[in-house]
Amino acid sequence: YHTAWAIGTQGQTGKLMYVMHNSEYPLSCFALFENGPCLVADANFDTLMVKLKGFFQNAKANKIESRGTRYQYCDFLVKLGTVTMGPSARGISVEVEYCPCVIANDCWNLLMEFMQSFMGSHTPGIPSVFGAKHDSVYSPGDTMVQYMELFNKIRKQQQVPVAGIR
Amino acid sequence: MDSLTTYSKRPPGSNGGKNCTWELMSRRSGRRAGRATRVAAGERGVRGEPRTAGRGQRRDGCGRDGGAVSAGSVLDQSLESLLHRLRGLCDNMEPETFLDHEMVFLLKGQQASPFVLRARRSMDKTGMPWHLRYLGQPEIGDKNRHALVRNCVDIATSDNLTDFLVEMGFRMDHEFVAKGHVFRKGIMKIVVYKIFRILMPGNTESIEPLSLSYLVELNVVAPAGQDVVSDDMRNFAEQLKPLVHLEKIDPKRLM
Repeated sequence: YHTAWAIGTQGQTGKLMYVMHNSEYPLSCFALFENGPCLVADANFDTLMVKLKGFFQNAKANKIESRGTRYQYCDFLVKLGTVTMGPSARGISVEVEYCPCVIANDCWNLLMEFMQSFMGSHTPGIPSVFGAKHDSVYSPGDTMVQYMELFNKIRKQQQVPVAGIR
Repeated sequence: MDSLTTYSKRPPGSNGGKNCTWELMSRRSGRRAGRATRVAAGERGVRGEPRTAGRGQRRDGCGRDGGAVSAGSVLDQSLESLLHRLRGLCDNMEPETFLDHEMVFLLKGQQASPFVLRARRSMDKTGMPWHLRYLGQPEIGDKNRHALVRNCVDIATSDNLTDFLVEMGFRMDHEFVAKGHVFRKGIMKIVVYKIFRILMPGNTESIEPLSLSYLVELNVVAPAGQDVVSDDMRNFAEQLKPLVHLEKIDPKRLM
């Protein structure tokens, strides 16, 4: 069982800030700007956002969530979730994590091979965060950036359920 | 544009320990502190070792709580006797010193008063998360209460806090370095520290002391609504006289 959810808020500069939570890191809260920094903070960051209500307003497409089951297969972690926006289901998310490796580029090929074994033609291309990272250490913030991109993609699409994979 | 606003000081008493209250005003600094964008998080969130240095940081993190604080000061020459007394009164623990760099950020909106957030980082301890603090307006309560009580929210964050705050629209108002000692007695925390002014914005190497005194602060962070702590604070403050008089801070005098 896992959840990952995001709420968008808009500040004075017009930029959209996403506040995200991930059940894999229950004590943390992630706050990020598109193409901007991703802050990892304690869970009570939400309390601060409540205080900042006067300066930030909730963006229209409020809360989007992915909720589902978490599978552990040897060194891999696979999370299948249904992406919902309010009461309606909008898609399916698949998250694959190779736990032992922290350098993204080193294990991309392995990940791809693993995904092909059960996703076949739906296997996605290399995520954009990997490109920026090169040989630096992968962190939970990168996972959240990917979720944010996925959620945005799903938000922009019509009501027809589409599979979104990362 | 730099403008240093006023400083007012009551003349010290005849013996070194008498209370002399300093009112610290803000120094505007035009440059914002830049930090490398590096996100760090462990599996348990940005926690690592609990940080015991700095203002009001609790070991297990806290949500909305009330922070009660009373403060006083001692001149440099009385520091040793105060530390000696505190070591005796407080819980038996390793003497802990800290060197922190604090930046105060403001967000100006349509409201008359800007939103203030304080970002603090440890300069001497590596691997500690940054600390973000929000302090609310002082609670208007019992005038007999001996400490100032405010709502406070403390959050540990990753290293890119300053970049993030700037992205949110905050601007740095002023910064300073605090160096001193921390003592603990039950849930009370006593901090004795000296404030240093930063001579060049962003450069924490060139600093100079702001005064000839050490600031003494008695802090308690408790879940909202508990008022019992004020008596404990008063009793403790009694034990520190005549070395230092800890009193309620009057926020109006800080304006």
